[in-house]
Amino acid sequence: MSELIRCSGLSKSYGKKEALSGLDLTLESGKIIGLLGPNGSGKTTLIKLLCGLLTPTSGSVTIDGMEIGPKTKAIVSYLPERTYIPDWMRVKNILSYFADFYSDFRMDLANDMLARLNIDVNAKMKTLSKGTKEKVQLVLVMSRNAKLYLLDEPIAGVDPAARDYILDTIISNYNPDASVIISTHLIQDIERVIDDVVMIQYGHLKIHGGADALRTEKGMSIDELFREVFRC
Amino acid sequence: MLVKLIKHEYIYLAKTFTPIYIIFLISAILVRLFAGIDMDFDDNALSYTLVAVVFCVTMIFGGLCGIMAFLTVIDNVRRFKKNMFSDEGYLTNTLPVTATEHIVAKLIAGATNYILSFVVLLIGVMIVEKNASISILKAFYEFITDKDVDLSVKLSAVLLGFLGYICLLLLGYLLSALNSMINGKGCLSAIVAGAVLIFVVFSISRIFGLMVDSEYFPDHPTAAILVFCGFFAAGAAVMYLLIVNIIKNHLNLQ
Repeated sequence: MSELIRCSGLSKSYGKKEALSGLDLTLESGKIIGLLGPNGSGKTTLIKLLCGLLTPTSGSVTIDGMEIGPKTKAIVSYLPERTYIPDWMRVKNILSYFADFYSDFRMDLANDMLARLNIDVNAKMKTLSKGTKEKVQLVLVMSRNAKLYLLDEPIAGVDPAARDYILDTIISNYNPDASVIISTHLIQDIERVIDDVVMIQYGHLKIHGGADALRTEKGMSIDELFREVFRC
Repeated sequence: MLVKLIKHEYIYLAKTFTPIYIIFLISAILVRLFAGIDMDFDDNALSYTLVAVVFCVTMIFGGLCGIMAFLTVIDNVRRFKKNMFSDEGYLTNTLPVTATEHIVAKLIAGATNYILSFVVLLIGVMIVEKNASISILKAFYEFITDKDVDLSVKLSAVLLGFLGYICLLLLGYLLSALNSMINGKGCLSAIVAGAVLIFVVFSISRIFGLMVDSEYFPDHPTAAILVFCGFFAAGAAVMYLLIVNIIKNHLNLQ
């Protein structure tokens, strides 16, 4: 395993509010990492910094040894917590859009996943429900052969029955040499799939370690540990 | 990647503007047909309906004639703002593409749309009144072939028009980018920043205008036009650098 992400003294402020404060973090490739923390802890900010949607106030962040830019964007597959596909597009249009811009996009896999989810490729985005739009976005993201997958609340907006399918999709489709960072509050649901845990609070790193090691060391599940650490 | 961005800009333009062009051309045909009808007005329902239809079609044709050029600018700037700084920015700004490529693709699409709209406008006018379009084309042809006007004047005039249009689009992009950047500081800040920017741009253009009007270039129209071109080119370069800087360093998709 090699170093994939390095954050050094990474800070991000929105006006006077500091979302991330001097974060030092190194993550390796080939792992599924649970990015956990209470609301407003800085999880989404960290993910947006990694995919270049925000720029750090201070400090630095690199992916695969590169500063954030077009080269890192080519190897990062990002699922935001909101729907972003233009309403006028059809599902097949957005597939060809991804195929055009990402050389690692696998059209056959995307079509296969959409068929299994009963999503019509000729459907217009504006006719789809919020949950179906999120599934389309997940299909787009997981159909790439990326080095890093950033999934911000991937199971928050879908029904419990679909959550298992989505998590199975993530596990069975990601490149084993790549890393997956999953940010969520639904820890029980993702506990079975994560290798590493990163917990942050008020923009500071609280806990970073292997999921199994933490369970053994603390004698509790990650969900219980989360409740213990962030008890109100 | 630039070619791919332009391809998707054209797909969007085809989807958005084809219906507008079709409506415009159909309204032009109808206006022409109505012009040939003997409109003896009788006080009955059919006459009222006919007058109402003629009025509506003429309004659509006249309205589109008036706003077609503005529509291309407004749609282009609106699309830039939506693509880069709204929810769609989560898609656009995570593509492996540079800020320069985004801007250039939008400018090329905007310029193409403007030229295409002009051509459609000309066809529409030609359908309604053949002589009017012939007059426009004739005036254009005479300007091109006029031996009293230097080729340098003609070329610099075309360049001036092109740069002016690019500046207009870039000004829209810059206002959108500024608005996004200082979004956290409130709407008033964005309005003030926009007002200051527009004041500065128009003040500088006024100074240049006075220079050109005065004794600096009495017998050198090409030089006068090129001064304006220089002003527009410098303005475009400054605005471009500011937009790239905002996208690269101050992107604020909270």
